[in-house]
Amino acid sequence: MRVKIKRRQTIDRREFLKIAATASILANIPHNLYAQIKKDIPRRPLGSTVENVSALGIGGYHIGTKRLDEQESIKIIRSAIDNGINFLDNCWDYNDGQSEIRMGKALKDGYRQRAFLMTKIDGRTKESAAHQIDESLRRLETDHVDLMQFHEVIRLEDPDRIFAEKGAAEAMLEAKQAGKIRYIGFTGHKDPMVHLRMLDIAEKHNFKFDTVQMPLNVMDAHFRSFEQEVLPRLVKNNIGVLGMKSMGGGIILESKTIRPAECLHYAMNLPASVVITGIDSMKILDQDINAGQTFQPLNKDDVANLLERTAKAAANGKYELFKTSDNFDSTAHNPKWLG
Amino acid sequence: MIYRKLGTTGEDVSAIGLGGWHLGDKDVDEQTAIRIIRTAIDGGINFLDNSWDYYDGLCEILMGKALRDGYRQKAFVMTKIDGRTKKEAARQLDDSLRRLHVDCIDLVQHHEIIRFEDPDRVFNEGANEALIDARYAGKIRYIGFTGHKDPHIHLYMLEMAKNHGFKFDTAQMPLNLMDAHFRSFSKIVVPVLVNEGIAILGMKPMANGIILKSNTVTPVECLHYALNLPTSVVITGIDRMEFLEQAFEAVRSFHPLSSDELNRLLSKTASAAAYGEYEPFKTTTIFDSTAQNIKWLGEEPQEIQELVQK
Repeated sequence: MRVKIKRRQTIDRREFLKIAATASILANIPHNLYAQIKKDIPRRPLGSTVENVSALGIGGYHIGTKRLDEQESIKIIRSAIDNGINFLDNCWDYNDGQSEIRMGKALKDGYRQRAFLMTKIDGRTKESAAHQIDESLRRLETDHVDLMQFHEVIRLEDPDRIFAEKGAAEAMLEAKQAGKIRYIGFTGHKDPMVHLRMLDIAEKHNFKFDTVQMPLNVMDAHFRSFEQEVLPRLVKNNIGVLGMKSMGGGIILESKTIRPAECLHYAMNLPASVVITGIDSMKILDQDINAGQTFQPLNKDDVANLLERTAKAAANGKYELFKTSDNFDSTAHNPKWLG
Repeated sequence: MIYRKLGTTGEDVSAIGLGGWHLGDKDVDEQTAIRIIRTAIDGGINFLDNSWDYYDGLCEILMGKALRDGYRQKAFVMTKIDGRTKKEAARQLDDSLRRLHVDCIDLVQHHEIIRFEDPDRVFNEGANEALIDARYAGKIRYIGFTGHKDPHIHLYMLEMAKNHGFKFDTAQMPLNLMDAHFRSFSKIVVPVLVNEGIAILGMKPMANGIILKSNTVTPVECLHYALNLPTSVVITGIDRMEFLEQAFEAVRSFHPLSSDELNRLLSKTASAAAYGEYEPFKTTTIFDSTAQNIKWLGEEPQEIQELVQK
């Protein structure tokens, strides 16, 4: 608990200083201005890196679906950046590359410089990982991404394969050396034990991840919980926490126990640097920006209330199908992507 | 032959079981496969292993042929299914009955419980229900599961069964001289099974020969180690008559190991075992046939698909 409080103070101070610098106000900032600052989507430090990222990030998957045309996708991305969301998520395997291609187009005209760009690769072998890294850069039309993550670390052999001789980790490190990527992380949605295994194996190889992404939501708190089992270790080691699936891909809302903004606020209230959320229309973007701007740290009673409402529905993972089915496992359906 | 109790089922099974996968190897012709199976049974091996997915059904067909002429009555026949949904599990079970040419299979196991969602799927999507129905219909007698990936996944499966008020008769897992040192089924899962009276089926005593490549232990030492654990049966792949003879010899020369003998064996493999190099079924996907053939698991049921698409 103390860690959380301390962290929030740090965030506030950083926000404060940043705005102060922007406004060229060097001293004596009046209290009412400070109150106004709070209305921006908060920026938070990304683990032990020097970066600050917006507490909400745009998920890349929805950006590339056929339901959206390219112009709409570009508009969503640019509006998000204009409204203070600088964290962009993507993946080599989303929508056959469309998600990265559209994001690449949106990032022209100076938007690339304003964004913290993340994407992910599936390859477990050095060769397939290197190939996917280069393909992602080409599609995103950038010479480097800020953060590259190993995608879908969901099987207990994934950490072994990634850190094996001629494994994907070698390709990542070479790409970093070559200036193609700045930070390295991993993501997965299956089970906290797989994340812990990945952290263990990385440690054995004297490697420290900059970021770790995982599902953080009100249901997760009750069932095979990343929040309880993985988050404390990341906070302790000062690794940047990226939350995802705050609404379980929308499925959590089907439980009729909680509203979208509550889902986002619950996740933002955890010690995560950013909560990544899928946005497939300007309407949803507006809702999410609003949720970001109205976020206030939840008190103990608020959290207890949200958890109590969702406890029963969460108990057997029915609304977290990424844990209990293979519907979200794109690399299980396409094992060749793993190399 | 040594015979052991199969958990709390009341069955006695031979301490060595004949693995079904190797029978389908292209170097083993039909006559040889049948000869291996019948000679094994004549020599007292009554536990026969198989799976719906081995070599497109060839292994079950060969075993079905060997079990004619009165051999069926002398054998305890086990096979496995991959289907996680009720429909796919029932379909595969019927395939297996047809190929094995029997009315009833003694033991059917959920195969390749190697992913964290497999226990959920088996219990939420109907595969276990299909086996319970089949048991009620007299098509099978006992129900178990098997996997080779990680002890924690076995523990999930046991916990999930318990939450559903179900008790497995058997659980199968890799038990070998490398496993003892690395992500160990023998340390993490075996005590739970002993405690609950679930029969332990050991497999991969030599990891398909890979452990022998470490040049630390002999085949007979590998078999003795697995026999020395509280296993009901140690399943081993046999694709040559000389390997069958070796298995018989291991049983003849087996005696419970003293702690000195055991420690001596374990110290031989400790350093080779440390990173799982000789147990690639834990650290790679090479042995995961259902990962390469995901359709064998069956399509997720409609209500789950609908929830995802909403």
